[in-house]
Order: sequence, then C-alpha cells, then structure tokens
Amino acid sequence: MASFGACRAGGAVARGLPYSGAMHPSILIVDDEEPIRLAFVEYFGALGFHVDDARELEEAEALLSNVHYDVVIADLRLTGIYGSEGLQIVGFLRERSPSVRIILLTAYGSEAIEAEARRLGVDVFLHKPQPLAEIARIVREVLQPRV
Amino acid sequence: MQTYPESHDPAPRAAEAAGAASLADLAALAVLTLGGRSGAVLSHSDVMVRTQADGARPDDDWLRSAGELVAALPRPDVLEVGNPMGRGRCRIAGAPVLDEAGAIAGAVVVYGGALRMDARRAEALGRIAALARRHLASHAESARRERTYRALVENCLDGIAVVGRDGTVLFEGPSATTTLGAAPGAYVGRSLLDLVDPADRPVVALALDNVALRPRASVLLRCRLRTGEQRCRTIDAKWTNLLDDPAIRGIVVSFRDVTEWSETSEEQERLQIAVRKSAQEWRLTFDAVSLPILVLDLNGRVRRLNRAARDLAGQGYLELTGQPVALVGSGQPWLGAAELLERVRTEGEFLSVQVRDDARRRTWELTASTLMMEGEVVRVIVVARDVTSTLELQESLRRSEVMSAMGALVVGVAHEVRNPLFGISATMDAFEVRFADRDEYKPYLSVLRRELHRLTALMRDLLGFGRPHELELRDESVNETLAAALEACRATAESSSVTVEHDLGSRSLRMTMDRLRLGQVFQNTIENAIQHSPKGGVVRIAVAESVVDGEPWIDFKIRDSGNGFSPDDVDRVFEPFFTRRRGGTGLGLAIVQRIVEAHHGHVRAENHRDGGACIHLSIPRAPVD
Repeated sequence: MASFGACRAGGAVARGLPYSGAMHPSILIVDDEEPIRLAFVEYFGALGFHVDDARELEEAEALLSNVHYDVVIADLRLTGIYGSEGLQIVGFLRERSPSVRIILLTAYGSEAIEAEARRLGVDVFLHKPQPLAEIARIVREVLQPRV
Repeated sequence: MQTYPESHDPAPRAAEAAGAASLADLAALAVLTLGGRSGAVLSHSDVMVRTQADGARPDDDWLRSAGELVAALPRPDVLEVGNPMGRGRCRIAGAPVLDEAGAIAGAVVVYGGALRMDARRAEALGRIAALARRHLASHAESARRERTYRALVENCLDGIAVVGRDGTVLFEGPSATTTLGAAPGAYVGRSLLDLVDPADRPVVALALDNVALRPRASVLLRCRLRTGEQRCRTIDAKWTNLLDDPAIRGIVVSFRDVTEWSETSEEQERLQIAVRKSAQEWRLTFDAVSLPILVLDLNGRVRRLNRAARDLAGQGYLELTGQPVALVGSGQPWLGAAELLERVRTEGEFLSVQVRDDARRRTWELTASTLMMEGEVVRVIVVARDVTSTLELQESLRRSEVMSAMGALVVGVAHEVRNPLFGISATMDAFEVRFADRDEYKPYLSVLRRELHRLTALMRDLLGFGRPHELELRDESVNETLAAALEACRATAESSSVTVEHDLGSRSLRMTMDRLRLGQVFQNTIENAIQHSPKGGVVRIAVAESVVDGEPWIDFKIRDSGNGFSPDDVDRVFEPFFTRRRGGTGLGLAIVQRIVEAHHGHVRAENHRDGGACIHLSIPRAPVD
C-alpha cells in the first residue's frame, strides 16, 4: 500500500467488511502512477476518507470483489496509451454494485471514450490534471443521497 | 442603204435659190446629187415629180448611169442619153462635183425638158455643182463621222442597242450580238422584254416606262437575260432616253455582260459573309473564355482583348485598344503582362510567371505565347489565371496536412505530459493539506502553483490546437454562443478594465455550428482583443450577414482598441506559438483558425482604419461538405 510516511488518518483497511460506514467514506484510487496514488491517499486521508489504492486491473478487481467502496476513482489507461482498463473496471463494478459511485479520471480525453464510459455507467468523467480540492468536492457531491 | 431625209439636202433649195429664174426655161428640173464613185443617189429634187402628172421618175439604175456620164464631164455640159421613160433619146445637163483635192466626188444631173447649155445655165450649174460639192464634203464629213462612231460602236466591248418606247429593239450593235449570242440583228423588231429573265421582267418593264417618261434621263439597271435554253447572262445596262433626238429616236441601251464579275462578286459577298460569321464565332469563343486574354503587339500595346479582360480592366474595347498594356489598369496583372512581353521577346515563346496584386489580394498566373506570321513574331498572347483561391486552398491543405501530422504528435505529447503534471499538482495538493499552517512554505507553493498552472494551460491549448476536429454541427443560436463566450471572458475584461460591446441588437441569428468549438473561437478572439486593449479601452464585435457565390455567410469582426498589428506581424498572428505578449501560449488564434477552417470558413487579421487590430471571421451559415 502506498504511503508518504507516518501520519496517516483513516485507519487500516477494513478487509472483509462489506460496508465501511458513513463517517469514513471509503475510496479506491486506481492509477498506475505512484505520485498520484500517494497524493490521493495523503489528501483524502487527511480529509477523513478511508483510501485504498491499486496499481493495475487485477489488483483493483481483487479489491473490488472483497471490499465495498463508496467511491472508485480510476484512471482510464493503466497500461500505456492503448489501454482502456478503466472502462473494464466500470463494467466490472456495474455488474456487481450498481450503487458504487465511479469517477473516471484520465489524461486522455475523447468524446467517444467519454460517451462509452457514460454508457457503461460512469458517474463523472474528469480530465487530468485536476485540483484535488475539486475532486474532493465532486466526491462529496456524488456521495449525496440520491433523491 | 441609209438615206438622208430630204430636209438635209441643200441642193434643191440651192437650185431653187440659185435662180429658178435662170433655169426657168427648163420645163422640168430634176436635180440629183450623186455621190461618190458608186453614183449613189444622194438626193433627188422632186420638181420633176411634182411637174409630171403621172409622178413617174426614172429608176435608180438610169440615174446612176446618167450620173456616171456627167461625172466624167470636164465641165458642165449637156449630154444626150437614152430616154428613161421609153425609147428614144433625151438630153441631160450636168456638172461634175469635185472635192477639195480635185477628185471627182459626184455629179449634179439635171434632166427633163428641153435643155440647152448657155453661159448662164452653165454658171447656174456651176454654182449648183459648187454647192453640191460643199454638200458632198459635209456629207463626206458626216459619213466619216458616222464611220468613226460606227467604228467606236462596233469595236466597243459594251453592247449598244436602241429600243423604242415600248421596248422593241430598233438597233443592235455588233457586241450586243456577242452578248446575246444570236445572229446579228436577230432581235431587231422583237421586244427587249422577251430577252429578260422572267424574274426580272417586272423591274425592267418598270424601268423602261420610267425612263421613257423623262427625256434625256438615264437609268442604271442590272438584270438577267435569258438568251437560250441554258444561257443566262447578267448585264449592267445604262438606258438613256433619246426619243426626242431626231438622230436616234429611241432609248439607247448600253450594256455590259457582268455575269462572271457578278458571280465573282456574289461569291465574294458569300465569302465575306462567311468570314464575318467566322469572325463572329471566334469573337464569341474568345469572349466565352473566362480567363482574361490579351493580344499585344511587339510594342506592348493592346491589340485585342476578350470580355473577361475588359471586365477586369473596367474599360471598354475602344478605350483599351492601342493602349500600352502596363497602363491598362493599376498594378497587376497589367505590369506583369508588360514584363512578360519583354521577356518573351528575348527569351522565347512560352513563358509563365506568377504575380501578386497586393492591393486586391489576388495572385495571377500569367502565361505568354507568341503568334508568328510568315516566320516573324507579330503578336504576344497573354493569358491570366486568377490562382488566388487555388493557392489559398493549397496553403490550407498543406496546413491541414501538417496539422494532421503534427496533431497526432501534439496530442500524444499533451496526454503524456498530463500524467506527470497531475502527479505534481496532486502531490502539491497533498503537501498543502498537510503543511497548510507553515507560512514559510507558502511562497514556494505559490510559485509552484503558478508554474503548474502555466503548464496546464499550455497542455490544454496544445490539445485544443492539435486535436483533429470532428465537429458536431447543429443549428445553433449565434446570440447564445456569443453571449456564453462573453460571459467566459467577463473576468478577464473586468480585471483589465476593458469593455466588450457587440452590435447584434435585436437581430436573432442562427447558423450551423459546433457550439462548443465556435464558443471557444469567440472566447479566444475576444480574450486576445481584451489583452491587446489598454485600460478603459473597448473591444467591439460586429456581426454581419453576407452572400458569397449565392450562399449565406456570417462575418464577425472583433476589433480591439490597441495599437494594431505591426506590418511584420499581421500575416503571422495565426501561427502556432506566435505571440508578442508575455505569458501567452501563442496558440489562441491558431486554435481559432483551425476551428473556423474546420467550419469551412476563413480568418483574416488586419488593422482597422479607425485604429486597433481587427480579426475577421467568415463562416458559411450552413457549410456544405
């Protein structure tokens, strides 16, 4: 697991628990870039979120099979410029947990991908780079109970 | 045998005048004038006829032999000859008539009655003889003149005929025969109208009546004669009314066979018509060519030019012909044509050159070729082709190709850069969240943020510039799109204290566009104008509808209140990364150009005549792919 060092708020990974509680919403960040994973863990941890991270598709799917996350933030491409693992994650999740909020974050944008992602059920499609404060705002927004 | 009317003969009068008294003892007097060696009776007084109850007179043979005998006399004398009236003998008196040369020219014979020759009679006879001589001389003179005229008439190429008032042929000259192709005199007594081709008869009859009414009048007429089954000749005739001239008593027709000439001239006329028609066809072809064509002589003067050239010059054919080509209009392509002419004269026959007319922003391709006649160059033909749009198209295509190649690279780079950029910014976010309270970190963080922001903006612009534009074209409101762009620029305008105005007014315009991208275009252009305007300045947006080749377009002019473009910059403002402003990426206008061209429009930068720089955007309202 990524970490910047000692001070890490949020507690340990609650493995096996299907639900981690409203007080500490859980986020899974999936990105192949280490600095991004580190920053997410640090930042959202400081905000009181429980953050897990995964580097590749298998790792992500393994985690998603066992743990419930309130929000999954995934990069589109995890293996170079032709990858679209992010979409696979979306597909994977939507089969299992329709209620999970999914944010797709990517450096690569195209209207076709965006359309496909929305079709698969992505909640928000964001372009990198994005201020983390903005991402946090969006996360809070999607966590609002649906009317 | 031609006889002269009696009134012409002076002899009888002479006889009577010379003294009938002296010859009074002559019971009857017959005076003959016999002329020439043939003894032709030239005149015969009718005293004898009058006094003889039975009106008999000797026959011509007797008179002729009498004349021969008298002519042989050496002097006036009396002779005894056989009686013409019966048997026996009678006396005649006579005097030979001699001409000036002293040769015998004729005789005067007096017969009838008892004749004695005495001195007075001899004298009278002598005087008569003298008179007769003069008469004969004048007769000879007349005869000579007649022969002269006859010779002229007979040897004249033109036919001569005399017709009566009703058209009856009275006389036919020899060459008339040739023309008419019949035996001489064959037509005498026949109507002229029989000869005339039926189609022309009415006209000829009318002319005949016309001329017959007016003494001494002349009429010229051309008509066709039909003188045989197959023979048809065209003649030109002059008809002169000499009906009242006792010598002629007819209408003189002088005519000439002009068949071949008329055929030739008819043919020439046909030829001329054909040539004229051919010339007209060529002129129409010449004018139908839409490229301006100039035909110049070797002095550079315009000899011919087609309609397209005239329209280009803005002057008429007459004004332009003969002018030196360089003076036909201002600038190009006229100067280029003059130069080309010079080069063609020295260098060769087929040359091409491209010239730019900066004033009208047109590029011409001029081609010159030479026209040779009999081995010498006599004309130079210059054809001008407006290649402005071709060049622009080529340029646009080249740009588009370069862009496609570059675009993929640029997009790839931008995407690749975004990840590390995010890595940095996210880490900074995390750092800030942890060490927000530490003041000593704040300045460093601030710098880092700013530089990050620059990088982000650059990546965004690069992507906007490099990405192939698949437009989503829909019918959208220009008003709304512009309003959105203005809203997006509001913060920048406020912080720069610049006002932005537009002149849409109450007009509500719609067009087919990609709203997002065109909004970007407006935003970039307006921001650019704001950045170039001084504090308190105004950015003016003018929107106008226009028609190009029958299609509706909309023109947007965004004008700032700055110092305008420098002449070096004005053609470069749309180049990627071209900026004179610190802090700009230099991609804003390049993006504008790409998007506008993707809409099949075009952009232009120029300085407004009232100051400030102006960006023109022209976009078709409904682009046809």
